[in-house]
Amino acid sequence: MGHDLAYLEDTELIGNFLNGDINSFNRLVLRWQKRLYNFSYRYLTDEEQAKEVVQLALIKAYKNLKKLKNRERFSSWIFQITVNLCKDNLKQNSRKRHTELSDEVIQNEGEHLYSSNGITDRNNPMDILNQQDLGNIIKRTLTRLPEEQRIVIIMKEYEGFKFAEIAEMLNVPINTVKSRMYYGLTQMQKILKKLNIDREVIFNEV
Amino acid sequence: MKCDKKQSELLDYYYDELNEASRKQFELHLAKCEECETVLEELKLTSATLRKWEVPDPKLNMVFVAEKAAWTEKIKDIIHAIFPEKLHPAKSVAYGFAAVFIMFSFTNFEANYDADTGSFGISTSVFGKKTGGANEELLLEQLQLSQNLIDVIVQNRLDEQDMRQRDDFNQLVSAIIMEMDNRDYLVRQDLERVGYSLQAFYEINDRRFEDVKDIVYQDVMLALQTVEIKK
Repeated sequence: MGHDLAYLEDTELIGNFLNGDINSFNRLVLRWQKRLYNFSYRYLTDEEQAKEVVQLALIKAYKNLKKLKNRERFSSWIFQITVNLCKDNLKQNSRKRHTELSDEVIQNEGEHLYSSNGITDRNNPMDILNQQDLGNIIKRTLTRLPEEQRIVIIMKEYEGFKFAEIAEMLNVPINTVKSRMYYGLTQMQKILKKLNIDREVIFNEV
Repeated sequence: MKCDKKQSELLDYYYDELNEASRKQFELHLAKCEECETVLEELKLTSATLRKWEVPDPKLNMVFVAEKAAWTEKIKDIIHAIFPEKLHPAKSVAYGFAAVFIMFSFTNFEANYDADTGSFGISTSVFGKKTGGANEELLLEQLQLSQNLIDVIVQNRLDEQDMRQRDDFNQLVSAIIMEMDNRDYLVRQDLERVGYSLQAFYEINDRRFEDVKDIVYQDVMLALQTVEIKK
């Protein structure tokens, strides 16, 4: 569909849409849905919830795009909408999540991660870990972090925003963003060490 | 880490957010400071680990149709969308099909197919008793009608292969209609399905529907006439 639309910049598509061309908006949707979903999924770790959030974010964008003053900033604008919706979603489901994550020591969590991935010999994880296991372990490890650290890590590592952009989207000072990033990564690193996930496992996995 | 400033700089360095001068300066520091070097190595490893987490493809395909609004405005928009001054043929076909859906999603059209003459007509009942309320029921009906309409268009215009595609398309639309019972209009799954079927349909038939745009155009004009008479 609309071959020509594929070559337009986001700003041009926004212009077309505001002039009444719904297909330009659909092109924006095609362009952004996957990225917004990946972000929401990593943050909420639930496929259905993430899809729900993406849909809500896009509907919000559809309704409010005319209020966006600087079209160059569409990327952070749509992400900000998505972040807020993710937060609302977490609040709504907070009771459920709290019980799921009732506090264990990292060590125990480590054992649990291994057993839940069918890994029994934790001294030789290399033989057993495949890409998907590793993905699951990272996912579960990330959910152990405080939410404010987790979101910064996700926005930085997976979405590649600059610290200044993250600060603006989350409405906190840039130094706060950086220290959350730093402590989040340090925590992450400690957990991974407990799990014997080291250089070898990361770079040589089968 | 002892020094907060270094901690912040280290992050900036690793994520390439330092300017040229600061970067060089930091590299000099790095060569001398064992602690920073260790921390940087660990940072790299953690970061590399994180990047091993890939999200499975959700196969999203959302498509938006115009929301309910003043119908006169919408019809103007549709005509504008289908026929801007000069439009690539393939593009106008895409617009045409989008317009069929948009039209059916906000006013009450009725498509009548006359089997004897092989022609079909389209009329509108915007001011009829169906306006307002009962959105769900309306949309179900509208989707059913759009299904019929495309059925007719394809039947009249296309060869066997297109008939098969028409059938696929119809199956998809039927699935939507069946599953839409008792649900709101803007349910994601519905949008996705409409999106899939619409897109699949005109991607498969790229550039082969040139005459369809005339039909859509005539329909819109006819609809406009009907509306004006009722006014």
